[in-house]
Amino acid sequence: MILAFTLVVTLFSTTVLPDASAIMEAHRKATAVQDLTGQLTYTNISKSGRKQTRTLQQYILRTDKGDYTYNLLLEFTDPQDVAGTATLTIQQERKDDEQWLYLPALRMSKRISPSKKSDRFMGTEITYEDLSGHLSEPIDDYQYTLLGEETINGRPAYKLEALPREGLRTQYGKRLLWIDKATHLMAQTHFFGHKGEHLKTYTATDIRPVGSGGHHRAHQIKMENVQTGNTTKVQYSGFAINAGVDAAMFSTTWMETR
Amino acid sequence: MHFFNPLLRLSYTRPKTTLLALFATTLLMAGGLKQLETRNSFDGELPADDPINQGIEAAKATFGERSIVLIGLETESIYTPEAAQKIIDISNELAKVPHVLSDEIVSLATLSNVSQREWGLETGGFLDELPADEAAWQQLKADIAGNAMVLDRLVSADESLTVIAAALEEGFEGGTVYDAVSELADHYAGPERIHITGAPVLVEDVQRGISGDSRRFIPIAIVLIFIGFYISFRRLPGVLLPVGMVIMSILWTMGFMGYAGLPVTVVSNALPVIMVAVASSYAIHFMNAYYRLADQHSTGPALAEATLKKIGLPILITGLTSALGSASLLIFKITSLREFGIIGSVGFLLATVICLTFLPAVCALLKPPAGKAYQSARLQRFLRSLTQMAQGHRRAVAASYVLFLVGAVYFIGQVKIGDDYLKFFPKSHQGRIAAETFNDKLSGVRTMDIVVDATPYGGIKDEAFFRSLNGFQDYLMDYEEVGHTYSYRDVVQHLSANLNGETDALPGSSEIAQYLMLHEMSATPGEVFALRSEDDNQARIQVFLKSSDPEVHQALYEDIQRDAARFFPEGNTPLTFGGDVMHRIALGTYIVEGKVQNIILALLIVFLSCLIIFRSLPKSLMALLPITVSLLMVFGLMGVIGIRLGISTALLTAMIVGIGVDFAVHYLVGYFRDREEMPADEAIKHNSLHTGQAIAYDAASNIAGFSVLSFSGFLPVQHFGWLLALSMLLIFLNTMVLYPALLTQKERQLATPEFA
Repeated sequence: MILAFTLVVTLFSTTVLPDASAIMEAHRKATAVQDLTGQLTYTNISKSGRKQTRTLQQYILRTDKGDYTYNLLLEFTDPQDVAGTATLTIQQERKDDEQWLYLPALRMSKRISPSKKSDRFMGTEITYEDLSGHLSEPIDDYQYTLLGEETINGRPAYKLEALPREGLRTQYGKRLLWIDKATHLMAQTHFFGHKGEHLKTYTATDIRPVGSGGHHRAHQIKMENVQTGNTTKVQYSGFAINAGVDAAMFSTTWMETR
Repeated sequence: MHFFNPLLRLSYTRPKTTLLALFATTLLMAGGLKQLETRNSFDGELPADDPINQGIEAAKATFGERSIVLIGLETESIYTPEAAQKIIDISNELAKVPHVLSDEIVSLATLSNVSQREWGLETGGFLDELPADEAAWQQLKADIAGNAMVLDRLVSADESLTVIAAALEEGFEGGTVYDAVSELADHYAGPERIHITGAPVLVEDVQRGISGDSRRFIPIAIVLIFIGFYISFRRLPGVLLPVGMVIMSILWTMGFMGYAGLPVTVVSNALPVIMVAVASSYAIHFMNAYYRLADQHSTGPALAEATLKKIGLPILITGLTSALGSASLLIFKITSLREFGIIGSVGFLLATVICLTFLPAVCALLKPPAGKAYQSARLQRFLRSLTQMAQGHRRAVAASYVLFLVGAVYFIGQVKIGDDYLKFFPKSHQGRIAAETFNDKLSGVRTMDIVVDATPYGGIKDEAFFRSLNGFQDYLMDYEEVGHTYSYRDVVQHLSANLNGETDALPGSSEIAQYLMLHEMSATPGEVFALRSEDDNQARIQVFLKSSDPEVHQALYEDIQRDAARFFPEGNTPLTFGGDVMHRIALGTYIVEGKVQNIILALLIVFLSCLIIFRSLPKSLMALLPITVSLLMVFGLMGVIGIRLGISTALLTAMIVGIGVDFAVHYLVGYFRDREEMPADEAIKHNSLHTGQAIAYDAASNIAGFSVLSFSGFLPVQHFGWLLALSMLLIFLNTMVLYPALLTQKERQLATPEFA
């Protein structure tokens, strides 16, 4: 009897997995913030091993223009000769983002054309489409299928397949997602092209709590371009989530006069 | 011959054993053919301690090695939806070609641009979207015209040509890339012309050409030899035996190359044909003596022995002198020439051994041929007239030679140095057409990389360094042959012009740093690191050259070295040079330096060999005469016609001296042998007719053999082939004219009949 009960419990616990949509909704909730600040240091590493490291301060504030759209201010702090260079992105729901560039040497900001989804963000291996998904997974645009569970970097994760819904303009034909079971953050992603070719691999590690609001964040991420052999590594520090960010910061005036 | 006598005696006393041993050795040596490799690149041709080579390696270490495939799309105007779509499609397809670095494809479809607009800055690719209306096409044209990094570099000013360039990863397989790119070109051709070129394509063309040459040459050369031997001897053994010997010589030599790890190169590609010519000339002298002595001996072994005794020594001498002549190539510092020196030496020695063992062994097994040896009446008449003319008009002969030689010496000074890689190919070759089209319409395809060390200035972002670099690039552009220069300066200036508007003022240090930051944000790491070192202490300037003349490159290189300190006064060695033209500059230097040493060494070797053989200074000097005169004439002719002294033609001296001395040795040995039995005048006439006939056949076989090289797909090999054939004709004529004239003069001056 005890044996039969154990067997039933075991079978139940291994075969009944949460719904894919539920996992992705939990993932979106885990990443959603009202505002976020922090420092990040990214290193671009070419196939031949040459490196380039930059440090910047990021300010993110959720907008009132859509459920999951953000204002994003990035200001370089190191190396010193580029300190103060900043970009401001105002995301628009279903519209092109607005972008400005501020160069201290010019002492004025310039509007720049909106980036395409496939454009590389700051010269890294992360594209604007990846960044957008990183801030908030566009779950309405994809069809998700739960493929099972796997361990990624020692942590249990759900493995899902994400296929774009018809009509969606995206650089990817398919993504394989590994969502960390404990935090619902993205632990790993494999990006595939429209012909099924493996394009890139995203890996998130050093997942830790941030602040006291129950939020977690990966403090190290890596994007490897399988096609080119180039890699970008990002190290985060000083995260502050929902601690309040002045909305006035997200303006060209602020960039030019601070 | 004393040392070799017991060994050589075996060939006619134990002919079957000898043939069995030769057959077994042939099988063994043929095994080496499987290990034979082809080397088609010029990498590794220079000594590791060469300063130019070290510079090239240093530039590679910092900026990586970039082998670039170039695809050109040529049409009336590239500004049409069809042409633009092809640029996009070819760029996308190129990214899928194996070994192509997909983030280092440069074309209108991949390159980012920053353009000032009324509302702000437009950033993005030129062809992110196909222009939808006339205004959009005009905007695209204006953007391209306003971008100095694109106009004349990627797009021709007349709108008819654009280039798609793809960098290849290190260790790429040339054949795979070549096939894939050729397939792409075929697929997208029409109505537009699709050109493919670039070093990897041309190098693969060389490799395929080498293989094709080898397949074609050997059969043609052997057929020619068949015909030549038949004309000479009019008997079946007189054809089959030498041909057998030639084939064995080639197998043994190429087998040796395989076992020794010596690859087939654009230089050693000519070897089989040279072996055909050389080995057949040994065989001609042997068979000529064999048929001449046939009526004096009743058994095969006796005739074989008599033939060996008569001709063995001259063949051995000529084999040794040819081998030593070839060994003189070791004085060059260029790898493929040194390798050829070794291969030639070993090959000529092996051919000598085969000639002196195989031919007597087979002859010993045959019944002596009946009847008199065949003599060509026409040839006899020609030789007689030549000798009479030389003997009878000695002053006129001397005056003509002086005139010829003065002219030759003058024109030798006009010989151009160094190989133009492009001109390896005939004018109809698609890679050459493509490169010439790019040269005509764009800023050139040959590149010189100049790496400038900015450490004394505190890095490339320093405004003083930037000012210096700016002045230096302007200085480079003053040269007519410089089509374009490209460095981070151009990136900074382009961004500055779009952010600030056109201005003459150069940016300050912080602006430079921030513009470079902007470039990083839009370019791939490959693009960024092609211009700047990781630590920002070195900048790379790519200099595109319209000229493909190595001497122009050399002069530019020397000028830049001389003038660099004017622009970069800080630091001692601010410049390092790399790029494809630098290899050629270094090769040119070594060819000139090695050539002079090679001529002296080859003549010295042959002179010393003759001194040992003849034990007489005047005879040894005489042996050098026809080849020295012929050398001067051939190099003078190169100056007149404009044939360059390059990596292939650099072989000429060693071949002319090594092979040409055979004629002199055979003539002199024959003359002194005849002189022991008859008066001087009669000895000259007798020798000129009898030894002269063998020399004529020898020369004819060499000329026929070397002429085959004229069918090569590579112009230097073609030039080498017909120049060598012409040299053989000149040496023959010079031998047959100079010796009768000189010996007659000498004999008449000396009262005594003894010469020496």
